[in-house]
Amino acid sequence: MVSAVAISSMFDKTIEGASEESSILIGRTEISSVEGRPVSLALSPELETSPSLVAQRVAEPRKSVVRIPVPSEQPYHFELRQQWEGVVTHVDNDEITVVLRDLTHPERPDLEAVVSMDEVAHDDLALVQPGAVLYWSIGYETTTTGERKRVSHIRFRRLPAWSRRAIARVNARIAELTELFGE
Amino acid sequence: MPPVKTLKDVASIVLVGSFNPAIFQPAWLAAKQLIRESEATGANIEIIHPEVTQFRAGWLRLSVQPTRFAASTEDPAQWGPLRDLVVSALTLLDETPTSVLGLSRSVHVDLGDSKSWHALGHLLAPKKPWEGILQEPGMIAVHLQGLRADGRPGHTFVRVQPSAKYENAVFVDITNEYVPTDPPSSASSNTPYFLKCIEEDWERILADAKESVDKLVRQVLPK
Repeated sequence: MVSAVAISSMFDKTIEGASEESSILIGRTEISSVEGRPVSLALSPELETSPSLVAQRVAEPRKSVVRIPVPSEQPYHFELRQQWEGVVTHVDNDEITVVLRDLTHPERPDLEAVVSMDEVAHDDLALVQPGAVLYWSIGYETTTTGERKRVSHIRFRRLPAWSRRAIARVNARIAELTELFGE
Repeated sequence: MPPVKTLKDVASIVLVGSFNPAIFQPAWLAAKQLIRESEATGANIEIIHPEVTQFRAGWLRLSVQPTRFAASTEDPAQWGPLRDLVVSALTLLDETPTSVLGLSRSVHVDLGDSKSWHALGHLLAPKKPWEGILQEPGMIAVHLQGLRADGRPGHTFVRVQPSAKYENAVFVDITNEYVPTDPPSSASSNTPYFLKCIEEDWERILADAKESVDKLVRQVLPK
């Protein structure tokens, strides 16, 4: 499991970054590869010529091969210098008030800040409301081309949504309790 | 004490279970408001296939196969959002059968020079036992497991090997494995427990992993 597949798997190649390496999926047999280059499955000579294995190969239809691409690199490197988790307490037309908890220095006291709505990403605007949680991160972003810039960005938390089944279960339970205890 | 220099730092959440890779597309994540619409639109889709879905959406890397779900990021500012995304997605699919959870931090650490680099290899894989067996033995990788320090059922796995990406650097992966506390009535019963573990332990696991990496490499770094 996890990158620990490399530990327990009989095909352990002790290849770095097991969670990032690509693999060739043949049926249900996973063979690790480095940078997309396939690694041959080395069976012992006895196994390769085993009549039962040969018979199995003849009987089974050829399985399709799915080549998993080499995972792409993150297009930037972010050096986090300071991060807060904030809770929105008040929303005006063009600014929001937040109480900030220091994630970088947890021993520091909470702060209250007023943030311009201009700082909020367009895709997050619908999430802005009292009680909403946000992450405010400050650091240095370096692109793959070497460009380095100081960045301050706010991201609103996208909290777990209730599944329909969970809502149905809760409603069913409410109905049970209502019947039991009355209105 | 000088800070330990990290060259690359990846946080990962991995679940073993039964998944439908075709579901986990950027458009689906955006439709459920788990990621921004712009992140879904700009996603680099590497493959979408019944057997595997793999893509990168900015900070997020997602890889789903029928028996494995893996979400990771190299952006430390997104560790919280990564946790939120996994918890949200699995809450929506709360009857997904799962059997094992892994919370990992993988780090490439700069050891500064070849002397420290070799010193770490000698420390973790002493050469004396190999005299007469191997000529010029060298450490390729060391894997260890230990009991969880926090009492949760499962093990902590540590893998250390020379970095393939950076010179005079070492790659350390620390994975905390979570297994069900009691035999559940069904595999889908494990998922709520795993989601609870992710919510409660994520920040602590990442902090502990960094502390462990620092403790390990400081044994060979100049004082």
